[in-house]
Amino acid sequence: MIFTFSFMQQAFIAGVIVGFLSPLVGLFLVVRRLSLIAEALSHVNLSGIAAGLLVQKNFPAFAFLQPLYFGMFFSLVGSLFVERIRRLYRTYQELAIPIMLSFGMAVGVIFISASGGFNADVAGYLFGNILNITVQEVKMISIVGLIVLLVIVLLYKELFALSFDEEYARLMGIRHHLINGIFILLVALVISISIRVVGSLLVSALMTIPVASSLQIAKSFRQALLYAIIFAELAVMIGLIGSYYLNWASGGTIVLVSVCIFFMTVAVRRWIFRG
Amino acid sequence: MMNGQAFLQVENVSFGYGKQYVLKDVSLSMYSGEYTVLIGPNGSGKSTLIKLILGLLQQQDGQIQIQRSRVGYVAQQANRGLADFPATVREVVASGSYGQIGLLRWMGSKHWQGVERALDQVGLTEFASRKLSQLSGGQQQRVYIARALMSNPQLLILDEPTVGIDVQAKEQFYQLLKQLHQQGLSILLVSHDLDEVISDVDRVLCLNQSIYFYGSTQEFLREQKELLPNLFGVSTIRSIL
Repeated sequence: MIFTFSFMQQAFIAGVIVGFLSPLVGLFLVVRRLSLIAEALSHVNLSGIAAGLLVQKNFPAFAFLQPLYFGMFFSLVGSLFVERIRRLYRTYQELAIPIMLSFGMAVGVIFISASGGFNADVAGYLFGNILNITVQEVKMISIVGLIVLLVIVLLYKELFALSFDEEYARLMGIRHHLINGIFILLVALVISISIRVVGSLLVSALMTIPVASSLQIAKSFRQALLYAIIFAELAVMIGLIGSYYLNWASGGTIVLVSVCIFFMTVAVRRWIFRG
Repeated sequence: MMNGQAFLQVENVSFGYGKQYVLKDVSLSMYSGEYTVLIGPNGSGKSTLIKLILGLLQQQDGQIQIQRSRVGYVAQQANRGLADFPATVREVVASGSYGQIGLLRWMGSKHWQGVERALDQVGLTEFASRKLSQLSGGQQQRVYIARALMSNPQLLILDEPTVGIDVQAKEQFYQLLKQLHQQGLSILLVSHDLDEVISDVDRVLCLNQSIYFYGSTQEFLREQKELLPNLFGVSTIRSIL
């Protein structure tokens, strides 16, 4: 049984947490047509990780500072910038996304080249390597995950109101700038903890594909949340086990399973409508 | 109809972009239980006035006095991009109470009872568990009225709510507004359907950057032959588009 290995247990715990939280924030992003923000922040996160690797290489005294922490810090700062840039434009708010995405990628490439170019460490963050996750990283993922879950539960109704009809939410007195600011910070945190599971390049996939599947069959917002979480968890479990036995990259396998689930939900929906 | 103090007072309000005025020196008062229809040609500043009253825009001159927590709002159907939003009618109506419940608090049984009451008022109880996108345009607008009712409003403001809705649904919609008015709700309706609502409303407000006419329905009907050609270029309310 593969779960007797401690590295698989760590991978399993991290995967379950990320599989729960990614679609949870992902649904709010998708219904607000902001799913590409995850893409932008994951690139900013990568630049932070590259900065962390550079610091580890050049300043051995700071080796205890995990690149993931740098990534998290960069994403949090980047998320605040995304929100500020969004407010600059009334009708072209999505412009914030390519600006931050390009910025993150540019800084990331500079730091990666300064730290000696692409190596196994960088590849691990780019494509995910959940099977090499450490106990310390699992602890960090658990704590951050708990904070994100708690905040979403507490702000669920405000997030729903803002997602459904931002203008009406403002009329009701919901503090939209505050809630939007907190939400984008949560997105940055979830991206930071998902990097080790699916990698920087695929992190937005786990936020959007299970949601896309869920939207095919959900009849309510709560159902959409529930199905998205179930589909993401299924993708993580099947992907993890598959990647172990097939010796495939874990991130890619998880996302591939997620895409398969998406096509199955499309087929199920078509079948129901024909029926 | 003018019971006590006005709960909406707009005094000498002006608003514009640059030197171009959209609204100039507009004053009006609404009293409890009043049903007023606001008409005017396209670009006359109707939606701007509504947004100023709602606090979505800030006036450059003048004053607006209103208790905004007691105002419900229904926007134009055509302005909504919510066709595929994965929410049930009940979830949407419930969201109308979220502002009043406040941060870090959840819906209680009292609020859920309010949801069922609001759904009953707009005649959508049997559709409560349906997805919003499965409802017709007219039914969706009734959902938004139910959402607005969740904040227990004194005043319901509707900005051209029947645009894009078929004739039969329009009639049912205006019938619902009439019922809500009879139950004591004050209504400010922006509409081109003057012919359909003229027998229901108490006052008519004609706007064309500034107030062109503001008076009782009877006064309006007496003066319509002079007002309508100047304002809309037509001679009867049936011809207003």
